[in-house]
Amino acid sequence: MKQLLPYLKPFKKQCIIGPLCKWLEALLELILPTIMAFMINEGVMHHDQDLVIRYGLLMVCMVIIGFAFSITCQYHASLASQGFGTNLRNLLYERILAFSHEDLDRFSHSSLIVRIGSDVDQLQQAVAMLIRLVVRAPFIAIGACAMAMMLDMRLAMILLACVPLIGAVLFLFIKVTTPLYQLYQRKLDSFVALLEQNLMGVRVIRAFVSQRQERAKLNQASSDLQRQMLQVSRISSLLNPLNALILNMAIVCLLYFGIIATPGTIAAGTLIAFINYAAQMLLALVVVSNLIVIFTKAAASAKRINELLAITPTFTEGSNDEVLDQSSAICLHHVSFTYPNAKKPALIDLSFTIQDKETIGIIGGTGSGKSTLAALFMHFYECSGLTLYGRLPSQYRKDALRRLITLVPQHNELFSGTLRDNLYYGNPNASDEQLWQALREAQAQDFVLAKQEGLAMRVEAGGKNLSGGQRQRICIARALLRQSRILILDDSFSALDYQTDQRLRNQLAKHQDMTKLIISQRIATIRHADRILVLDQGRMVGFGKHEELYDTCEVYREICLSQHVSKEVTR
Amino acid sequence: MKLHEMIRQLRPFLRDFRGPLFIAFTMAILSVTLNLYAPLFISDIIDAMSQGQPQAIILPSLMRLAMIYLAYSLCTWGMMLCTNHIAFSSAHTLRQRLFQKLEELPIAYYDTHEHGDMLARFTNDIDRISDGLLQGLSTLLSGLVTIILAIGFMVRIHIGMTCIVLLCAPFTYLIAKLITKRSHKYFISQTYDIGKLNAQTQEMLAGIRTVKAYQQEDAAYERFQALNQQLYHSGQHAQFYGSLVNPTTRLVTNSAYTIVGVCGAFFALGGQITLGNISSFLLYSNHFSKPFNEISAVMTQLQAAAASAQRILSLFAQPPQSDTGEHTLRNCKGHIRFEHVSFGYDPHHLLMKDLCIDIPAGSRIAIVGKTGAGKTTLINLLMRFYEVNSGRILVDGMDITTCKRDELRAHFGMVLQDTFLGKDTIHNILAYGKKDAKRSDIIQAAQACGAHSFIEKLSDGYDTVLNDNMFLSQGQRQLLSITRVMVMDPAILILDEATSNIDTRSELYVNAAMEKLMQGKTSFVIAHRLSTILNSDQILVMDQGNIVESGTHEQLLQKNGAYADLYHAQFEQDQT
Repeated sequence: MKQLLPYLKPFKKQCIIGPLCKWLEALLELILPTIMAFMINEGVMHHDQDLVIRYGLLMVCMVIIGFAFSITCQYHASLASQGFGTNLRNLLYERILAFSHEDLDRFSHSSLIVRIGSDVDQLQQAVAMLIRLVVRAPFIAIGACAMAMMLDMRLAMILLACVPLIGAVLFLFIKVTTPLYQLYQRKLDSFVALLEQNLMGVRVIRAFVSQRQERAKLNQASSDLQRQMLQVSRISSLLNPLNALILNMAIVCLLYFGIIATPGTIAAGTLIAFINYAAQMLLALVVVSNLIVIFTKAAASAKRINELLAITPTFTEGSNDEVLDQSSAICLHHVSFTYPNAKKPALIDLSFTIQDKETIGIIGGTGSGKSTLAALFMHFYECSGLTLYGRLPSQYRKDALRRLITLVPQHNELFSGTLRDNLYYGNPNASDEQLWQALREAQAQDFVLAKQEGLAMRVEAGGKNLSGGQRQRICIARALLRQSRILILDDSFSALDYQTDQRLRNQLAKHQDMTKLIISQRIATIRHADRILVLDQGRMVGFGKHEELYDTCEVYREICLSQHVSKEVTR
Repeated sequence: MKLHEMIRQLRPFLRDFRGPLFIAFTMAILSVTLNLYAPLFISDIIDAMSQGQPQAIILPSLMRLAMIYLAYSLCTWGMMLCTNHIAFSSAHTLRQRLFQKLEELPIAYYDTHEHGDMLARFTNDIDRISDGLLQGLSTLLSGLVTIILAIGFMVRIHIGMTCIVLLCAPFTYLIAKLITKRSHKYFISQTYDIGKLNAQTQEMLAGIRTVKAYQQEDAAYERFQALNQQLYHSGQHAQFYGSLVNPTTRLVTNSAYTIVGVCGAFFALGGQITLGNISSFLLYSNHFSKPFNEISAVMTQLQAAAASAQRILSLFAQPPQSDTGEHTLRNCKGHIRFEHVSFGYDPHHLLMKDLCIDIPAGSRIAIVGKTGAGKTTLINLLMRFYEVNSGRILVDGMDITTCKRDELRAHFGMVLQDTFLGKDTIHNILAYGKKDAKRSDIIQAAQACGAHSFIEKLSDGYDTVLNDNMFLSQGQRQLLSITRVMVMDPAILILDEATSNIDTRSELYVNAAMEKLMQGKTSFVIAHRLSTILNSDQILVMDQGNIVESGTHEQLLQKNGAYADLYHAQFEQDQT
């Protein structure tokens, strides 16, 4: 938890004022019974009505002032804890956005959501409790101890002996439950992941009539969660009764030593006072142990959050804005790549050069490395031997690199908002005319016009309200708005019918000063490219024109034959 | 929704816990009684000491005191175990029922609601309810018993003063209610804001590649910040107003303490009560007011729980998808008829109007058309993911709405563009549609689909557990989902863009296997690759939700209409 303390710094003022007010309130509350005793002793004994009224008024004032202090404390606690939580959430979100793909691969989406959501919530609560209660409880416990020591040193030793005993109980408690809470969080993660799958795959589940099976799996995960929580609570609910037992046994000891072991040396009044102090200590300790439950949970959350904060983004950024070599857009020199944690390389010893303004088709079977290649060009992963316009990707400044090269990913990723919002991703300064132009080129104009709202058309999260083909075309329009020098289309035509596919390619061909890389499974989509790169299981097995490859590359010919495409381009 | 209405709705969930509730209540009574009784015992011992009674009498009393304390700790522990059990088990039950409810909801609900928000109901909201139950129950139980017992002790001392203390109680309640009312709206907007924040995070994570490729990190961050700021506002207000309850009740009880003291002093001046009475009365009035403090302290938690309960209940209140079908479909042949079917996702905006088709059993139907022409809608209706607005669909002469949904779907095998495989062993994934499939059947199907070779190469073959970290290409996943249907061997097949992610060389094997599979079965093929649908019995050409042409490949080419246009586009040279 220590690493997170700096994030409390902006709330230094609240963290001082809050507990201070709470302390003052506690002080007033401790004095109140003394004043009452004074009023009774002095006023009633001496039959002084004025005194009773005066002390009565004093007590009312104290109560009101205490209330004011308390409200001030609660206010500052809410400011500091919510502020802390808000800042932490912002920070985590910012960090996640800065993660490289390599970093992102290490965490599941659901675990990231839990961290930014309920983990921060836990910590936020802990901060609120820290301000509201942490000062008050120990203050009362220590105060009671001090008063006891002033009364009788010998008997006070019995009370003091409880302190290490209770400390040991608390320590053991934390030691045992912390790993159990972590286990609980892991089970929560897997429950959420399972649930997420069920939401996404609802069509398949219903089509296969597997609701019962899925429900059984989910119930299993849920009852795992319950069992884990019960296991933790069996231990944690022992804490309060155990502490009460220790202190109550101390009272029995007090009575034993006071009455039987050393008879006649202790006054009855002193014994009563001691017992009162012991009770006060007990009450304070109940609060402390509740705090400890909150803080153990918070510590588990803090650990998970620190895991995220500890990652220094692996994305390396250079300082160059300008390209070095105008003629060769992409150059690979013996490039091999293996995904982190993967056993086999995804790409093996690739060497080729793509010239500026060339249109390149990339084809190959599933798992042949086409998308991996695109990810390397985008600098989503680090690799050596690859240059873009004469520089390593890592030598460019991030935004320069992103301006240089644009990718339309295989999974069409759209965001909730309007169509205009989504297109602005490509170029936030584009005019409506430019937006329509891009939609026209991407063959998306017709269906957008059909929806009447035009650019204000609603897009649901992930483009759920659009068909696969519509999503693809919007993604392409968005990419065209970028006007980058290199455009990669990763299987972006798969959901389009051939007519649309063809019209789109015609439009793309008009962007003559753009280097285009078209990844596809369809020969027809890439057949007319300047050159075609054929990949097979991570290796390059051919690079040339359609006719050449048809004669020389066996893999390419097989693909052609499977799609009824002959060597001659039919007219 | 009113609180009592909410409690009424949640009551069935609590009914399952009558046993533990009873035990918890008994334990609460016992522990509180022991706690209030122990001081009396101590004063007896001290009295005995001051009267100089022999140690032989005091020692057994001391032993008894120790026993009382031990019993007190045990009872408290017992009570907490029971309330824990109730809280966590009811959370489990709620999760189960919520999921069951989700299963009853139509697909339209899934299509139109944010998944992140739905997830939040299962995690944050249920956690809040279980926390509220846990804290609420244990505090309420012991508080209630303490209040009753304290009143009893006070009445024994002085009835007039007891009335003063009791008058303050409704005051506490009123103030707490006033604050609760004010903070409730902030608690509602807090849970709402959390849901939105969750949804935003999830959306960003799902589209992270695009966010990065387009350098939209700052924009995404700004959006998050704005939502987070909203949450800050509602959260801070909710927390502050919620935390006011505790000091305010303390204000009331401390005022009551002062008033009781002053009145007591006056009564004492009048000689009605003794000084000792005042001090023990004050002690008990403190015991009396403490539970009010504690109960008001858990009010914050209860409020958060109530706001969450409302969100969960609103999901429960969603109208379930009724299934009036009662017939079962046996030995399905696969004869399908659409009679005057009209449908629109928005009932005021019909997409499909008066559609009629007759598909003989065992025939192979290709559905072609531009994207968004309504091909997937046709399947949605056929499988009853959505219900027709008018007209009817018949399978083997039976109106599908008279057939149970699950019974109907059991005759369909479906392969979609997006695969959903789940986290399980390859064997179980492939046996998804036929749970009792033997390993040999599965291997046979996998071999037919060309999936066998790559499955064999996985670390544990068919027993490999498929998880997020394992790299399977989109095509390999699709091969698995095709094999899954192969194992199931249904009467009707739906292949919605099934091969769009498989490379054409593997598609050759798959198509051969599909060919075998489709024999004697009614099958619907949606594909953009015309080559894969060349030899279908009937081709339906769709546009804007309706069928514009139908017939065999040759017939349609002769017509020289929409189909001919599509077909030529594949082989014609680009115009550039």
